Amino acid sequence: MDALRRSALRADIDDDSLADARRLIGYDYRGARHTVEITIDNTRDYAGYIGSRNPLYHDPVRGLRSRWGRPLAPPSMVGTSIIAPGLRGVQWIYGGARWRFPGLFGPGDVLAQSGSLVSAERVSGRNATSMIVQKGRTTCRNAQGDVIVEAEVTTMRVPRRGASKGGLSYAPRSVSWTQGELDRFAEILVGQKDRIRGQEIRYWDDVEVSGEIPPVLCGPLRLSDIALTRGSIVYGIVGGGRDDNGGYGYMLDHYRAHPADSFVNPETGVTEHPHRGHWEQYMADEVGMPGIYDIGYQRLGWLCRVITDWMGDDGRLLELEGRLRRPNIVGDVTWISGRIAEKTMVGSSPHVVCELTGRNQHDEVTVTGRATVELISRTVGSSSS
Amino acid sequence: MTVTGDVRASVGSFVEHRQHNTVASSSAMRFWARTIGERNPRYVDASATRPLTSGSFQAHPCWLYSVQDSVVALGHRGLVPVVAGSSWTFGRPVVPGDVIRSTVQLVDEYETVGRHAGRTIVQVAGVGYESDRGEQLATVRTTLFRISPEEARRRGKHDGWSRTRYSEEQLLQIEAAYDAEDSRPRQVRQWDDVVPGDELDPIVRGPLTSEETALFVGATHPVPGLETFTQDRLAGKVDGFVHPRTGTWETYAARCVDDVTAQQLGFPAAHDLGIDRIGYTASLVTSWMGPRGDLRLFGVDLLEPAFLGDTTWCSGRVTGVRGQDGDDLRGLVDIEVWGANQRGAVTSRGTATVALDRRPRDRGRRASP
Repeated sequence: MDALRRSALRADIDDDSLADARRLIGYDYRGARHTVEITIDNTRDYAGYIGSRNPLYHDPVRGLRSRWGRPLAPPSMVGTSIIAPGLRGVQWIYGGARWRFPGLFGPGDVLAQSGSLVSAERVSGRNATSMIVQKGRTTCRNAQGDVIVEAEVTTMRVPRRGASKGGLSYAPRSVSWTQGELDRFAEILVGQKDRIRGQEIRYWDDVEVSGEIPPVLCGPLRLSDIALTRGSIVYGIVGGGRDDNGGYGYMLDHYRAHPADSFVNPETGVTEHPHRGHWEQYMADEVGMPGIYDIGYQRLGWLCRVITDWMGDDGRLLELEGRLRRPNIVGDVTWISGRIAEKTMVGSSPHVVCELTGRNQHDEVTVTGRATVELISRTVGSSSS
Repeated sequence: MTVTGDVRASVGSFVEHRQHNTVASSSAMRFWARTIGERNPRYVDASATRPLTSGSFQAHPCWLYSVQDSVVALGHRGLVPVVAGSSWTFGRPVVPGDVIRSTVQLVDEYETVGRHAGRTIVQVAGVGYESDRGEQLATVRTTLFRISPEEARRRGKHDGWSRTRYSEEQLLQIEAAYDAEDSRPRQVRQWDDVVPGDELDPIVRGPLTSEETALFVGATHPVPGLETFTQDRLAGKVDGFVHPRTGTWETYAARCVDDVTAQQLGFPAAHDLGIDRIGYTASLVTSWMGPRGDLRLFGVDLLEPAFLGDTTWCSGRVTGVRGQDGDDLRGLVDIEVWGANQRGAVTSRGTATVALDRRPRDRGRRASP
């Protein structure tokens, strides 16, 4: 019982760490086993979570009217589960994900996810002297057993502040905007709905290599964007399919089983969830972040939102990759822009590859990504199963 | 919080509102119940292999808050809603597959003067929940205090408040209460066995953490995204404020995880939503009533806020055993409930009416009072 009252472990990365981080490679990872019931409601919730106002995801009838003939969900909604076992007391930070979308999914689907740890490597990062990167792979299948989504998630394991060495060491920073700047942002934000391509077909023929997707404003980031826009589905996925998500009685069961995955609130003495760093300054400091930091999975969802807004209802996202480069804290703005890098026919399928970049108000790159999209061509027949 | 047009609604008329959940999906039902700490399989376990004695899988009665949370800020821009209480009337339980539509009316509006924020507009929002087959599943009347942030800050009602620092003993006591709770009732409670004065075994919820309130918001009504919020704010449909620490426009909804936002409204710290507390107070009754009990009426007045770090003990006592619920196979029981925090302060009071089975052979022998 008193294990819960001990402050969370602050462990270092040492010579035994790599073996520990690799121990479960190849094993079916229980935390990634999850059944996802995709509904109209949680699809809307997820679309809202990633800042998408695309009617395709808010109104099932739009999907029915598209060439897909079925209601659709934003593709990045499933597949990423953090698979980062071992290394008790070492913080985990979401690094990025890479999805393949062999199938479409949306309201009405029930997807079964499974996964395993694939690798663990030791690296030195720009802002952490020593860390281990763990990679997990997940597969989501529909009821017929068809693979709908495959994803690879990268998690960085970084010692917490207070561990004897290593750890994130971002200098704390705060953000302030003038009223004029806030007003300008508001104007831009409201106007962005007009940029959703929607039912107007974006033809492959009209897309040019080096063509741009003009920057989309994501921010200024609110605390509520991080903490309160998430619907229930996000917990089932990013939490690794944890059935212990719930009120304190549920958390108690979890903390008893995994005492290293908890933090004692120094003010109250109560054991709390590590998520607190996403809305409380104290926890953000603990982790070594420069401020209250966003949820990486949400930021990757912004990449999905930008590309799906651009491609139109009749476009199809085939692959999406995103890597988080720098923290994104409350108050920050992120401008996500795209550049068409490739335009090819893959068999009879018209593809474009778009490189995505997110920059903050200091012009620092905070997220990068790459999306492969299939579009309709005027001249060549396109096939998509 | 729900957004309305900037035209002040007149009492009685239906108002435009946004609904959250439209379908009672198994996962939506299970997840919501977990966010209020519910462990009763009846509300969290959809498995067909669980014991029949634990009742058919259905939505926790207050799950309907996730369809329409009843915190409807009608008119009076600039005055932020605080939940003062809810009063529910329930029809049949919500089961997986139900498609639900909500309607919202302003039932009453008047003015009062309170210690927290002085002149306060009191509104009663009436929400109806209908199935797509036209059945009235439930109605709720939620009382909202529309408070002025400036006035609330000026009055400083909660000045001198400090967060509880729990002792080891207190925390162990709370944990023991969770372990002792009969959250998976299997025994059918018979109306015939209930006597006025019977006490319900208290249950504990908390200590409240920001993870829990964030989970509850996610299950009940995720906050609209930044673009929608900005559009609504510019259209005068929702209130916002520039957060002194983050420098951005923010929604008052953040008050359930962020102390600074709560302080904008004259509260010393982040606090619960109120409807979450009403939800788990109902759990006291839904567990006690057993797998064949049904909640018919439930109402709670929130007397004090529950801040992050606070713990709530929910208690109840039978006040009446009466009559028939429909036919003579069932009877009704009235219960008074109350909540108290770790300081011993009574923070809520309410009543419930449940329907229980009557023993067939005793029918006719027990006279209704």
